[in-house]
Parts: sequence; structure tokens; C-alpha cells
Amino acid sequence: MNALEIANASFGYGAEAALTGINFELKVGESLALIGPNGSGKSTLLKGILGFAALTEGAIRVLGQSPKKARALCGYLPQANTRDTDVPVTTRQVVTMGLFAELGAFKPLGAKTKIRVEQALFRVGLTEQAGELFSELSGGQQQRAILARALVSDPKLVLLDEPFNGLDQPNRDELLETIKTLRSSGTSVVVSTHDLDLAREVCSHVLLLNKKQIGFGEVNKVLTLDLITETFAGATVELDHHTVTTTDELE
Amino acid sequence: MLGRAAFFGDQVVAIFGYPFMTRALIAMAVLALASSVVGFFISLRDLEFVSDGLIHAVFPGLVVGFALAGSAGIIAGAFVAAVLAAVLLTYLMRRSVAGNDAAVAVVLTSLFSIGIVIVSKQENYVSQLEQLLFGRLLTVTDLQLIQIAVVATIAVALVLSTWRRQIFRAFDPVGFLASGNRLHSTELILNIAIAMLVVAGVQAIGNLMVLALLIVPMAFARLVTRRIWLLLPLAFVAPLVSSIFGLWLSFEISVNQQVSISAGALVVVSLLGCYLLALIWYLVRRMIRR
Repeated sequence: MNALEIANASFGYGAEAALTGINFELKVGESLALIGPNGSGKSTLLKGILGFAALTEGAIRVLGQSPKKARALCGYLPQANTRDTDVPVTTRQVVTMGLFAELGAFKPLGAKTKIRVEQALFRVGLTEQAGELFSELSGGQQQRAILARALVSDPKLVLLDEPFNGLDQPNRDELLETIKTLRSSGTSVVVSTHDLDLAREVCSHVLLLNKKQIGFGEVNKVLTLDLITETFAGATVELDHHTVTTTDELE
Repeated sequence: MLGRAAFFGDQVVAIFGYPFMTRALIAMAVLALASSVVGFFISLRDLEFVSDGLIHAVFPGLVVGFALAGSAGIIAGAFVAAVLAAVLLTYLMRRSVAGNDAAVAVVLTSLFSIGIVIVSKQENYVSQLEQLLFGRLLTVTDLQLIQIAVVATIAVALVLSTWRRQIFRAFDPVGFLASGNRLHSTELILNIAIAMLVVAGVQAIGNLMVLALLIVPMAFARLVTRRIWLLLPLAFVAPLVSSIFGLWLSFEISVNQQVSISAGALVVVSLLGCYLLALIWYLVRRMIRR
């Protein structure tokens, strides 16, 4: 079974497609970096995989199922602006939320559930902050807490939307280690990022996007000067000791 | 000093020995308990304006129920209107037909004006309107007390049975949906619970002042603490203490001064007094920390 099968797909909001011509397969255990400038459709593709963005054309299977049915098998780290830090919940309570769909309304948090929560906290290095209010964590720690929430249900596919944005070096390194561990445990990972070196470090495959699919394949085969130039048109990127001119946040 | 306090305590206990005062206090205690639970999520989700919309939308149901069956019909009419209004508002907010606030405002003003048109067709309409808008806390009957308790229990049960979903939804709606939870039904259940609490509170303190009960207790609690386990007890105690004080004051003024003042209004004013004290305490504490 493939983690993702997307055939000639377009995704969008309402009737209009924001992203077209997506066509690739990702096997279980492989990891994919989505690379492209701002507004290129990286987040739209992640939302399409979760069934939040409409499939306007083509076909998509996630872990062999429709996106909506596969949601419970996926772990998702949204961009940082989706949570309300006024809600007074602790880090441990946030991580436990990742098991609510499985637990239902009334099933008590048993010893096994509590162990899973503690393990998820340990995986992201937040054991000491477990009892602190989420709002009192730093931005990087908050990202790691949400990642722990995504991982606590042992998902088969993990989707990370710009997880490295705004992180300082220690938090970045922690997150990188967590993604590497996920890969080695056979979990499929899809991560949207601007950082080409990071994509090389943690991903087996790359999908280049700019409103449409520019290229897909193994990292070394796709991160070429020609394709990078086609994806980003304008500003400057370092790639294999060459300088490529592109336009946006990589500057 | 102690003797004076004991005398005052005896006086308060004696006043609440009257059956009509006992019923009023029990009604307010039930409403305080329910509002602490439902109000928690109104506050977390910033649903204050939506709550106002639901309150106004319930009004035509009150009026139709009253027109068809007198006081006994109020709860039934309000119950039906509450469910319909909650479904309508949830749908409009989800669809973003005209923006959340605009959708609520359209429903709020249209349904409230329909209610006024219907009630103005009745005889003695000013008196009836006053009862529906401001309630009659001191004339709550045994039957009404049971109705209040049943409807408030439904509101609390709806929230408690979806507690985990409501917390997750309030904290992170995108993560909530991505984890395989159902967003629409979770929002609808909370809106119905708010509407049920409106229905429960309307006979005691009226259609207009029930908003204070939905919003002020949790606003008070959030000024006092950020500990989640302490929010609900504080949001229960504040309206309970306000009810005891407001009812006592209403009784004292009417007996000693021969002046009739709405007991419901005095309870709400007392509650606002609690909020004001908490606000001052919060501001002072913040200034000291700086």
C-alpha cells in the first residue's frame, strides 16, 4: 500500500483550483519535502491530503482510503496561527487531545493512555514542561507540543506545515531529530519547507511546486538548478555551491 | 461585631425560609451551576455575541408559547425556538453567508422584532412584555422550578458529554478537524446548550438579563485565575453569592422601604459588582507585577 497516490489532481477552495497537475506516489516509509515560494500551493496540497481543500480534478488516495476517512490515521502539525493560547490548557492536556477521537466522550484516561502521552512528550523533549500552561511555552516549544499531539496516536502519515518557521536553532535541531526518528521508525512524513538543505537532510523525495507540479522524485534527482530556477523565479539561493536567482522568502 | 454578623446571618436564613424566596434561590443556584459549565465554553470560544443572538432569537418562541398557553407555554415555545435558532445560527456561521457577526445580527434583530409584533397583538401587552423581558424571580412556581432544572440539566449534559471535543475545538479548530473529529456537530451541540440555558434562565430573570448569567460568571473567574480546575467553581460561586445578596436586598427594600424593585435585576447588579471587584483586583495585581 502507498502512503499517497495522487493522479492528475487539482485542489482548491470553492470552484477555483489553487494547485493543478499534481501527480505522484509516495510509498509507506518514504518522506517528502514540499518546496515552493509563498502562495505556491504547499499548504493547499497538505489540506487536500486531509480533505480540507476540495479536489476539483483527478484522484487522491491516502493510505489506501479517501482523505476524510484517512484523517484519523494522519498526524498534522498546522501552521502556528491556528491555536488559541487563551484557552488555559497544559502541555500534557494538549498532547492528550491527540487521543480524544480514539477515546471518545467518556472512556477514562487509563494507565496505557497516560504512558502514550508521556512517551510523546519525551519524543519531542517536553517532559519537564508537561505541567506548564501551553501559553507559557516558547514558540518553538509550542510547535513541539503540537507535534507531540500529532504523534501520540501513532499515525501512519505525518503532515508538517512549515514546522521550522520562526524556530531558534535548539528548537530546530530538536524538531529535526524528531523527524529523523519518525523516518527511521517507518512513518511516512510530508513536510512543507523553504529550506533546501533541510529537505536533503530529512527527506527521501521532493515535490517542487509553483501553483502546479514542477518536479517530483528523489532528492538528488529533483533539486537541480533548472528545476529550482523554474520553481523560484527571481532571488538568490545557494545550491551545490552554485547561486540561483529566485524571488521570495529564501532571500 | 461577631454578634452583629450572627444576627445578620440569622436574618438571611429566616428570609430564605419563605417558600417563594426558597424557590427563587434554588432556581438561581441551578442556573449558576449550569452557567458555570456552559459559560466556560462561551468565554473560551468568544461566543458572547452569538449568545446574545440566541437570546433574542428565543424571544418569538416565548411569545408564541405565552400567547397559546399562558405562562405554562413559555418554556415549550422557548424550547422549540431555541433549537431552531441554534441550528440556524450554526448553519449561517459555518456557511459564512454574510460574515459571522452580520449573520448573527440579522437573525437577532429579525426574530426579536417578530416577537415584539406578536406580543403587541396581545391584551395587556406592556405587562406581558415586561414579564418576558425581565422575568419574575420571586413568583417562580414549583412547576417552573422543575422546568428550569430539567432544561438546565439538558444544557449541562450536552456540554459534559462533549467536554473533550469542546476543549479541543476551542483550542485549535484546525487540529481538531485534522484529528478526525466532527466540527459541525460539536459547534451545534454547544449552540443548543447555550440556547437551552437561555430557555432555563428566561423565566427567572427574563430574556434580556439572562445574558449576564451566561457571560459574567466566567468573565469574573478568568480575571481571578488561569487554573482550569478553579474556573468552574469560581464561576458557580459568584452568581450564587450574587443571588443570595440580590434576593436578600430585594426583600429588605420591599419590606422596609415599601419599594418594589426587580429581584432579578438586583441579582444581576450584584453579579456585575462581583465582576467589578475582580476587575479592580486584576488591574491592581498587574500594576504591582510591573
